[in-house]
Amino acid sequence: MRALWRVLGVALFYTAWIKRQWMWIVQSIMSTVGIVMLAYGWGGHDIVKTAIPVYIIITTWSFGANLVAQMVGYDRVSREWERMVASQLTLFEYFTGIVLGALPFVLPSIALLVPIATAWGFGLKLITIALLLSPLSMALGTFLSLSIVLRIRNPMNISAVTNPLVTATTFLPPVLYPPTVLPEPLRSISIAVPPVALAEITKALSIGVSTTPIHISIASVIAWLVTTGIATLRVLKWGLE
Amino acid sequence: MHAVEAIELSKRFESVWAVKNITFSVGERAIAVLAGPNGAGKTTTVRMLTTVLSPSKGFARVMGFDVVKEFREVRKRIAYLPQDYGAMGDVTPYEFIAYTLMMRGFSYFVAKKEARRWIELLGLEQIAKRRSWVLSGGERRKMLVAATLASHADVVFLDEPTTGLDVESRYSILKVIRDASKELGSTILLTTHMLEEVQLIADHVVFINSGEVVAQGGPGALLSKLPYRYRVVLEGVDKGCLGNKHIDLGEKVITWVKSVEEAKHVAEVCKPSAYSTKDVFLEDVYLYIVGEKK
Repeated sequence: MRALWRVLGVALFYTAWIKRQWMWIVQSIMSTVGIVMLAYGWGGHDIVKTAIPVYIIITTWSFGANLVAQMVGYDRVSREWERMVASQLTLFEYFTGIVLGALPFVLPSIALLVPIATAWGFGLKLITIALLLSPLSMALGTFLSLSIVLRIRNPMNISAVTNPLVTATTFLPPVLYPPTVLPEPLRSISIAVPPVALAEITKALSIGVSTTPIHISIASVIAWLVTTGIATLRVLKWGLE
Repeated sequence: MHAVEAIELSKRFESVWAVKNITFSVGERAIAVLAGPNGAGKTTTVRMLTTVLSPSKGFARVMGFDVVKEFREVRKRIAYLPQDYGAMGDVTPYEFIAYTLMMRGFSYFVAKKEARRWIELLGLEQIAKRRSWVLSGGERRKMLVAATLASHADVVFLDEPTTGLDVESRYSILKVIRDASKELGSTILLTTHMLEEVQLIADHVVFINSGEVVAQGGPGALLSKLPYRYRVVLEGVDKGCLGNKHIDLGEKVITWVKSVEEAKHVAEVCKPSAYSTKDVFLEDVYLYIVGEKK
């Protein structure tokens, strides 16, 4: 029970800024609506069907790579990290609390996609597949970002690292546009970008369409998960540094 | 049993020893002070005692538990306010105290009740629901100290809790620390380089300089180590008349004497434009000991 209160304490601490700076949530909802309209305007019904699950994956990837990593990075710089280390709080409780505390930031925009998909008659499978892959996307985004952020020795604005990282892994490579647009060898190489591989898997499982064979995408995700997981664990120390 | 015990505790960062063979102990329910100039090794010592850093050499125990081998037991018994802590975020003092207590395993209801009690105790009612980033430095520090003390930990570590505050805020925070120590029975170890105020509340003082302990003991015992009773501040004098026993502050010079008569004699010999005499305090002990070591 005490562990539960500890997690809740961390979550409430981190929810406070989202609660008070609720315009961030409005911005996130506007982006979601904008993406759906963009997809519908240029490609119609079929493109919206592709964009919705992919956008869920991008949102949760950005949540891990940007928001969670920024919070951890900021805690290191501000010494909140030390205050928490010198308490009963465990590393697992800390991360669970951070994720729970930051969830209100992304949940409304994801939740908005459910009625949109239902209204368009896309079926529940589309959203369910994307939601099931979301924790994987978030974990991978967090690992990649943390493996970089935790190696930064000098205090700095962490978002100067995480924001470009998210843009470079979501908007630049073929995540929201099809890989077929790119010439070879860029098309084949792009599958090495985690959100591209995650989007390909999501599309293959939810709407049965993908550019790259699914086993290659799965291999890419597993390789990144192992590599970034190890890279993060090597620098992630909960005290006794 | 000692609440805190450090035996030849040392920490090396690459080729530099930040702390070298520090040995001291603090009894239960005492208020101990690690004192010394900036960069003396106070924060590094506290970070080892709070299990944030691993010692390079030596060992330490908190409430009888080894800070490395039994770090989980240590963490159950301590609370720590780091120096330059800056993560108050968008919370109010009330929320900050309540959420901090929840992070330590207090239930939501008990944490809220305790937060209200500490808000009243520190007279923070007026600002209890203001966002912490609009608070003054003193109000913010009070909030942080309150959240740390409210944890009911056996040993509370406060790293520079009064630095950067005005005199009134400093004394107000020291009063809270003293009162909390009595009421909760916690051992408190704080670091500072402001010695005059510390003398009023400390049971045990450890002087650190360049990563090493240069003297330790109760304030009275430390003062008795000084062979002088008065500090004399002279203005506009030729420093040659004072020998080696002085600190040059440019226009002003500090020296020490054993009696009021001796102070008058110094004034007659050196002919300052002005001078003042006051009782020695811990800062004089520190300056004298460091001067002797050099």
